[in-house]
Amino acid sequence: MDDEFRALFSKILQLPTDQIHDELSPETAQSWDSLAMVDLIVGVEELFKITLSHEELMQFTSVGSLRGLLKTKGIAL
Amino acid sequence: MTESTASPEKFAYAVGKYIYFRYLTREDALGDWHRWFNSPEVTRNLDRQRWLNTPEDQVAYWEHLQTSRERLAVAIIDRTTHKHIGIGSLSGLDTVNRRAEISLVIGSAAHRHGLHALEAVTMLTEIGLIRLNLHKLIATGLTTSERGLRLNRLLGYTESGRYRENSFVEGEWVDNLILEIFQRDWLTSPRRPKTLAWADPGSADPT
Repeated sequence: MDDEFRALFSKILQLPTDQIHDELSPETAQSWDSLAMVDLIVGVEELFKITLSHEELMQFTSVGSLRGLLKTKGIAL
Repeated sequence: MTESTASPEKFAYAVGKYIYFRYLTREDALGDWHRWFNSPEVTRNLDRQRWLNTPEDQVAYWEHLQTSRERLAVAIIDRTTHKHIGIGSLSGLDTVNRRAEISLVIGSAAHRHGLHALEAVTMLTEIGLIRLNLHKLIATGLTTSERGLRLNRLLGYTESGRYRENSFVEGEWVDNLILEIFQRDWLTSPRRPKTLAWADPGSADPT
């Protein structure tokens, strides 16, 4: 599952998978604009068959924050 | 100088996690606001704004907004820096048929990353459908820049049609997509904020 998670970020942000780490964020990845953010949200929701609420979306500030959020929903990566 | 022009952040209209909305000022018109609408990067995907936009033009538009009840326009402000980063509006406000068209421009390139734009569209949707009690909101965009409508789609706006050959862009006629969202759907949407601070003008400080 972790591989699919990384692959999703890699594909949308157009970065090698070895550059997908928890500290990666819109501030550190040039390609992570607001539209990439939408693609990431849609991709994560489709991958894990979940729907994120507004409050959850507002916590999505980095790869690590999303990983933590998914953990609270019982998805361990 | 009045207090309102000295510290307009104290007069927030709505407050989110990363941004807040406040009314637009003459100083905004003379600042970045008029520059954004001279920028090809900003205007290339807009249906209008092909003419020069001078500070005087922007001030005249701002003055028009002061008495308009057909357009609600707000300044989008970054909560951390209090920087004016964009404009949001509900235009064509029709209180009989309870509808309006939503639009958003994040003029500050540095704030096109992250969650600012998503939160701004969410807050404008909430204002239109809940605070103003509109029946539906409409979003339109060029088919050549459909990326701009993705934020709306994420919130539950669905495609209802298109205006064919509605815009002339870089030598070609381009269709405009029409997306809509209804109040009844927004009320039960997980994308709807559970709480959104409606600031009390004159007393609220979003910080």
